Amino acid sequence: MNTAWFAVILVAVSTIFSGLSPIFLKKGAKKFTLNPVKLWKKPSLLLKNWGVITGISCDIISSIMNVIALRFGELSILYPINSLTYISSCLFATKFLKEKMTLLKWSGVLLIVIGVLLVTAGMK
Amino acid sequence: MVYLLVPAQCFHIRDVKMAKKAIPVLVAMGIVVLCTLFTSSGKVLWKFGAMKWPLFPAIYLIFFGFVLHAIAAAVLIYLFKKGEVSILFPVFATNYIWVNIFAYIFFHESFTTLKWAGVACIIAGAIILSRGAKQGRRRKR
Repeated sequence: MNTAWFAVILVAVSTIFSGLSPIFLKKGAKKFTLNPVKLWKKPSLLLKNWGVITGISCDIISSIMNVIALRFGELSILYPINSLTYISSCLFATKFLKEKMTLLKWSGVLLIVIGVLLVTAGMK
Repeated sequence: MVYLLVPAQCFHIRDVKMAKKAIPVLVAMGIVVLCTLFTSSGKVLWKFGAMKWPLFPAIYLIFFGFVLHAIAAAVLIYLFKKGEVSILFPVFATNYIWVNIFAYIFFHESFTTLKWAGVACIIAGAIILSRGAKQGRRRKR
């Protein structure tokens, strides 16, 4: 089975969403609880926790894109492209959570990009 | 080896009570590897579903893949809350290896040197990235 180029691009775009989801989850994690007593008294803790809700829906969007892409390509090529999630979540964390990019982090990002390029170079 | 048997939280919080409650790193790593097996089998189910799409069982396969993902994600979040993320996170990158093996078994996709080199690069990148994150946290304190 050959891999279509647009499947690769679709997976690459889906990593933007899956990189955004941990940012939202982190923002929602402060209020998050599964304690049944607290939830019974105040259901809005879980139902109106927009951070957690948007985080999970971002993940669902990216996985639907993944499933669509998997129809048009090989699993062993499309799945490693998902590792771009590491990079996008790192960049979003510097933007929204004000974490710092160090030289070590940049070199990790570079290695991951090289790995993804190697994997996509192997496709027919 | 001794380093691996120490509870994960000892590296950060020198609280005896917390350390007793914490999970040893080796056990945590084992659980993370189990999680990666879950997520990669979820991917295999998605691929099966995507190939059979308009037919009947496809939607169930995809849904079951989602369930496997959700279980793995919940366990991972719990572990990352308790343990040292920079040690456990690179272990999560092993699922690229499992996916390659599963793709070979179930879909007869090729094992090529380029693919394995790419996967090795990605895992090395994940290790370095999480080391960098650890360094950043220390500097902040």
